[in-house]
Amino acid sequence: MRVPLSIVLMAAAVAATSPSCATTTGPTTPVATPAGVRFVFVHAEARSVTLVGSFNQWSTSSHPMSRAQSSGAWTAVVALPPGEHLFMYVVDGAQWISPPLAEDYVDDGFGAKNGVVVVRPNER
Amino acid sequence: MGLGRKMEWWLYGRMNVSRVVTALLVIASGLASPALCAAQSVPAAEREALVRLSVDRGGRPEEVDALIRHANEAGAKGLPMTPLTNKIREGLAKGYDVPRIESVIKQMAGHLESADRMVRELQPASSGAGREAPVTLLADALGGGVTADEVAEIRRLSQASGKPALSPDGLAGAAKGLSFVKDARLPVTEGTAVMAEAAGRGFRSHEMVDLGREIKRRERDYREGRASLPALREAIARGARPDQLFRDGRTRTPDRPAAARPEPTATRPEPAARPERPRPPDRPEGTERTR
Repeated sequence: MRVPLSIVLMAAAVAATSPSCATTTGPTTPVATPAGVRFVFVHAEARSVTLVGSFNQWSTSSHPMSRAQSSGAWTAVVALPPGEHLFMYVVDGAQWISPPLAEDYVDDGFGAKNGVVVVRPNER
Repeated sequence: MGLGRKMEWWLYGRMNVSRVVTALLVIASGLASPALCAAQSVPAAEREALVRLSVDRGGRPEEVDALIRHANEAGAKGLPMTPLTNKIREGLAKGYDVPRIESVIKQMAGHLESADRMVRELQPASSGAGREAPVTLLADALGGGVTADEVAEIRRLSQASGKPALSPDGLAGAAKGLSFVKDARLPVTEGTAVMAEAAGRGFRSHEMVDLGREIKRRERDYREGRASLPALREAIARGARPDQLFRDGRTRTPDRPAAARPEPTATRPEPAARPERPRPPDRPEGTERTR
């Protein structure tokens, strides 16, 4: 039985972006997992990506992200206390990037957007 | 009156005076202690970390001191300093120049002062430590575009007869929830009524924040008539609890359409494009959600 190529591609796309898939490295909003909040950021050309935010005093060194093999997806899992946390990504130590996907966005007061991740008490 | 009797009266008088003086001292120290306890300054280690951050990016220590002065002034007034030092750190880390950071800090300090005044009006006896969380959250709401008049309206509506007294945390949560409604550019009067009803019904602070966030998440439903804020207020008035308000339950915010996402920025974050949306007539000018 031959399966149309469009169906295969669609299934692959769904599998790659499904938040329910624990091993996905597709772009998603930050997702709560038992180990902490999982951040995924896709940047194929980056040599390094760091997660920065209100939870680490905007440190560009404390939360380096790991690159998934053979893909441009960078991931980090961070244990965060319940509440609202602001975040951005820093590429190659210098390029600050507003999250392409986030639960919400707020102005940072300087003209850029911080991503917002909300950790609810029952999600820890 | 004999000498012994005179001595007795004299001693009695002296004791009364000393009692009065002692009582006055106790009252004075009681009045002064919240301010004294709350008055603080940026710790030396925090200052050093900020200076290091600035110097690493080509700045000078005295520039950082100019920023820290604003935080110290806030601390001297018993206002929370952490939001200010966090914002200084964020600005320095992102590479913004000091005057720009200073302007943001001044604005935040103004919001903190206004929020502190509102909380004191609501609960004059609240202590410095107990005031910090609601003041910070309320200041955040003010930074998000909620006005003092709207906060006063939440307070007035929520304290209608028969409803429990509004706490500082409740007021701050309702105001923060309203900031989401305003951010979604939904009718402010209706949003205020929703938040006041929730506050009056004893919703907890974080429940009202979540309520506002959920309304914002469903902004298209409200704008396009599939949901209505007055109906939401009525449901709350009928006794619905936060987990009963949205029949399909709270789900993760769907990914934003590409047009609404911030553009990738180079080196330093730059303003992100925001899609044009119709403005309701009752949205006040000159307010912007800033965190």
